[in-house]
Amino acid sequence: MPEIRNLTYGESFIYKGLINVKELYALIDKWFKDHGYEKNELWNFEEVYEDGKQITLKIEPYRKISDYAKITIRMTVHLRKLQEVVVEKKDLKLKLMKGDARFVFDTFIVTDYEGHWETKPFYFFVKTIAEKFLYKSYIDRYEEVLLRDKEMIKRELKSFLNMQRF
Amino acid sequence: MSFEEPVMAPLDIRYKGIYDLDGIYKLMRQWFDDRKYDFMENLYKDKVASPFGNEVEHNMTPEILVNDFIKFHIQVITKFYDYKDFEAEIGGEKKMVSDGRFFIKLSATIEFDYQNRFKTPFQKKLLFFLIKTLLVRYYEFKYYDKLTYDLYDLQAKLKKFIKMESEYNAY
Repeated sequence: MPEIRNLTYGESFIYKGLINVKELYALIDKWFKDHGYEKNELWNFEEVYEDGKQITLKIEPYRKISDYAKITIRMTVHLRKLQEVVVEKKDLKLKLMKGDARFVFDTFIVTDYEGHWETKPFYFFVKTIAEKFLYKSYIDRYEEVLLRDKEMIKRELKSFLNMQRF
Repeated sequence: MSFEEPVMAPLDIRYKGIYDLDGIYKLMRQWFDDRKYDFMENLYKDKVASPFGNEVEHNMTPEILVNDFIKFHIQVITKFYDYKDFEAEIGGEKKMVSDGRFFIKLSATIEFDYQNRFKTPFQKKLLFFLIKTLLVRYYEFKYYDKLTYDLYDLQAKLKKFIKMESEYNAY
């Protein structure tokens, strides 16, 4: 079993208003690709109800920083009560969605994800010692990278949704 | 001794609304034919489950021989609940469409040594050592990644066909 170090859990923001869902999804997918993350889509649900469309998306893109550790951002997107609206912008008619959106971010570092250091008790002991003392600064450096990446994607989404940014 | 390794966590698509069941089936079939997969269908079930509609289930296990040593397996499990056919006018044209909810689960495995050439215990250990330790990166780059992104391609095509909002695939 790999060891998972949780950095942030349940960080979220909520938005209510006009959303271009197709472009939102494209932005998320493209952003993770451009920043060297591997695609890992866990859920992709889309349901049409009487009060509108409901979309649930759970993605867990990861970036391998070495053979030993990888950084992961788990992002859950809940889009509720989405109704199609036509908006006129610069003499152009755009089809957009109106509804509620909730974005949840969890970040974690997974070490020994291939499970090489857990086959024997001695290996496990060596791994723990190495992680606590020898390898600590190396892993800590990637904590900063992960948190920065999470803030960047959050800022990108807020900018896309035209939200207030601080 | 052949052994199979999963390449990724299963991909899950769930949808509720109006769709085209025949189209989904044909699209998947065409995708496998284009890539020269040997198409196999373990299960095709259509039963009248409730007054709300039928329950249609497919289980497909296409596979392809990559070389003398490696074989790709893909498993597609689809289940359509409350499946009902009705005629609708789409773009001024009358067309048969379906209503209901469904899920499609895509998963893939790689089978090593499918010809069972490594038979003795020593050979088995050697095989395991080669694949899991010595050549692990080579296999990851050459085969695991290819199969993973092939599966994402199929998923994206399905999403595009169903006209889901998340049809985009950057990879």
